[in-house]
Amino acid sequence: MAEILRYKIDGTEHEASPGTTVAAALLNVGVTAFRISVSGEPRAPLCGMGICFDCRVTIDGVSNVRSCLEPVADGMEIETGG
Amino acid sequence: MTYDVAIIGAGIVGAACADRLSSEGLSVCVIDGPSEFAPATAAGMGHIVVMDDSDAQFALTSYSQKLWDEFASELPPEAEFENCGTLWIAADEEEMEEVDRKFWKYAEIGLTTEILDERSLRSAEPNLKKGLPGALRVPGDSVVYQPVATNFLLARAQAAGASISRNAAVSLVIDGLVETWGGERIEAQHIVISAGCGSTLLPELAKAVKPRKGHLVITERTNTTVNHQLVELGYLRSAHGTDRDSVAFNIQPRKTGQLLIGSSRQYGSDDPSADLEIVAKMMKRALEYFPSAADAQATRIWTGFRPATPDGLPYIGMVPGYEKVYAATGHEGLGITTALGTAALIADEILGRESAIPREPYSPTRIDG
Amino acid sequence: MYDLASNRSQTAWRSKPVAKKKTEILVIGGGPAGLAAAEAASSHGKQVTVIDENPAFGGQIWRAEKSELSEKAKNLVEALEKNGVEMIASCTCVASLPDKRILALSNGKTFPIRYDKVIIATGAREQFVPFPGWTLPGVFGAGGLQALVKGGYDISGKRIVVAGTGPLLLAVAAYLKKKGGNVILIAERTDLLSLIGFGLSALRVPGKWREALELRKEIRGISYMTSSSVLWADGNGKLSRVTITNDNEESEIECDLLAIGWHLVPNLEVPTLFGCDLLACAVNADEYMRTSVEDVLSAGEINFVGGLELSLIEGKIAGHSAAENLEAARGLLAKRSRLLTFASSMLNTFLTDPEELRKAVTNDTIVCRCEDVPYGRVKDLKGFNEAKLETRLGMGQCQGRVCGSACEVLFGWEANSVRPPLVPLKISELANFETENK
Repeated sequence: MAEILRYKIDGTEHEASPGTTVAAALLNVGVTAFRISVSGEPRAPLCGMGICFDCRVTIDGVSNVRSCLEPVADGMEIETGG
Repeated sequence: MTYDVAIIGAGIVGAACADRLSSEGLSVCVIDGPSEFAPATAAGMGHIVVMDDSDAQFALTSYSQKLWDEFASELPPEAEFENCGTLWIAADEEEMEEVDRKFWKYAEIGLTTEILDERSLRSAEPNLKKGLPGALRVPGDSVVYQPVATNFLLARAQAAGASISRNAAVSLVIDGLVETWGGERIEAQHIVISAGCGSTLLPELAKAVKPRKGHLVITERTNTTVNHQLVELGYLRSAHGTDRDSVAFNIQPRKTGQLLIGSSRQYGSDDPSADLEIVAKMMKRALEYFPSAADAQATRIWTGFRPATPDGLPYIGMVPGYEKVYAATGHEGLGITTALGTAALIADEILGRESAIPREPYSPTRIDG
Repeated sequence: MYDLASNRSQTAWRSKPVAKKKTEILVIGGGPAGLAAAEAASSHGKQVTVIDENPAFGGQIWRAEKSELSEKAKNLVEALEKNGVEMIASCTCVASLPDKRILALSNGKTFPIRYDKVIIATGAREQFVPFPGWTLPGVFGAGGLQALVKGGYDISGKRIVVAGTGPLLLAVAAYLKKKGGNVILIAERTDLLSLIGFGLSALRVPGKWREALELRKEIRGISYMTSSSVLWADGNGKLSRVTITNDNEESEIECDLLAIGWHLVPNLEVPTLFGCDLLACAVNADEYMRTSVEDVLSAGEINFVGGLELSLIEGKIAGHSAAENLEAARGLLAKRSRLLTFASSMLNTFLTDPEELRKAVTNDTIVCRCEDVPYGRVKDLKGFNEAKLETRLGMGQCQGRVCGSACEVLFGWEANSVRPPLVPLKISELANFETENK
């Protein structure tokens, strides 16, 4: 379990330890605009437990994934701001 | 007090009648049931479409479409009225013959349409499946977000003096009197029943108006371009068989970028829950025509019940055996389209005037016939 | 066999769904209630499957710290695996199907699971109450921030304000402090007298006062205000300060994060899909946890938000009851009834006056975060349904999970108009809906 996971956020490579959720990883990197709201505001997680859908991002090409429910995986590509 | 007119049902047909009649100076009372919003209107698609599977349907839909065009400039922007037109899509060469027939039929009443061949269809709707032979473009058709339009009509009627009695389920209608389960008695010279599938409170209508279940699926906002309301020509065949379950391809672009995908028709089900097997058939059909929707995500599926009649035409006009009790129901899937036309015909009949189109084909006198 | 470690580190993301297509007792939700139910049911030799939307079991209260499950949850999960219980994490119930089936979603793929009996234990979520600025990045639910920190969010050195009401605030503040957060203030809306009253009633329950004392020790050094709440939050693209009121005096506090906690509300989406009768915004189940729908049981916080002990006992009762061993369930009824009484008394202390909550809201305050619908557009409408139709409030991705309970507080509207699918599904996935297994 001591391995380091390498993944990308919007094309830039980052590292995380196993068990880190995508939402936590994005917050640790300082991402504030997980998604852009209908009226153009940046949005980030509110509920942290899969309820609010405000933390949704695109992961490996799949859009609207709730990042708080998804652990980071090695090689994962995350796109924000959708 | 005695109202000139009591209208039972505040869906889009009732709302249009209330608006029309109160603007003519009549005193109007709208009586609506316990649901917060008329269920059939809420569940519908908001496609304003000229349909030609009978002359009478053709007359009523094209008349109503004209009325919508006049009304459009008064609607608030939230009603999202958009004159996007309809594409009737042919799946094969045989259906292209139907495109031709439809073209001439529309031309007969002076409605301009356009025949698109494979290439022009492709440039009009680049996301449709490649190789479709063509389509008929009906540029006069529109889409509207009908809940907002309905509330706008009701609000305008209220501003003109109409009163609206909500949460009042009607228990009895006799000549000149409406009674609710709560014991309220509303007296009126004329009574209009525009309660969709709930219009069955008259035994005569109960016999003839049957719920026909439909499903709709809406997606999240997408970047997939859809320029028209897209309907398969086969819709005519599948939608108007009266006794079997059917699905047909139908996509409506919403101003939000969401796609509203239909459609299904089922008789004999009163279960409002979504039937995912029917939905799967609908989606398969949609993807046959519009493969680009495959990755769009559905956020909600819902069902509704259309008030259907045996001959596919609505009942508009005085119900035989009653004194001044009128039906304005049985519009099946065309309630949004024909609401304004229906209201005009009802107003004409109540006020003893000629109408712009003959009223006789829609008369409930045919119920017993 | 379910491998906790590998499921979390490799992620379920690319693996195939592992569910059996058929089980005797299906448990939806692998928090305390669901796990207790699975244990009780499997103790009678029943074949049990537990699904949970989260990547790990344990629910919110036993939420794993990165890859480490809490001791209690780990023991329970191991016991279940020994009993042969099938455990499927990262698996969501998206629809209820005819013929005793659900449609489950895992790794982007749907599949039906057939059951003889189903126990719903989907737990509770945080109640959110809109206020100006609550959509800014950096504003979290109190439990939400805690969950994110457990998921690996590093808050060391962050200036944090914890606000809202209820005993949860202290627990969250203590946790955040322990994790290196600079908790500068706990703003409790309730007044001191009511809190003392609550403290006295809590003393009647063994163990509770010790818990409270421990907490007080842990939060030593953090300023604690009563009769105090957040009026609004400010910042340019993210939170940078909050304005709070304390006994009618306003002050500004610079901070990086705001953790705001009100009550918990039951997750009623799944029981609503099943058609279970609801009562007072909870599932209306009998003492054996049977709902109004045959062969559908419910346990834990969807019946009453009453904390861990109540959830565990309800889970056990539901498990015995689903295994048709009412005798075993009967022995637990008295204890459940005692816990229920205590939980109800606790609720009353922290009930917040809706009038108070509405005060902070302005016409521009967003109520529905998915569709960005402001308060001013919906305040004069008749109800949730009309608001949905008129403004698209509640029609976005979260399907009213956040704004629904907010509207209950703000307007007294009843908001349970759930539609399948419970989470967005690709059109191609809907098209592939299998009719096998009929």
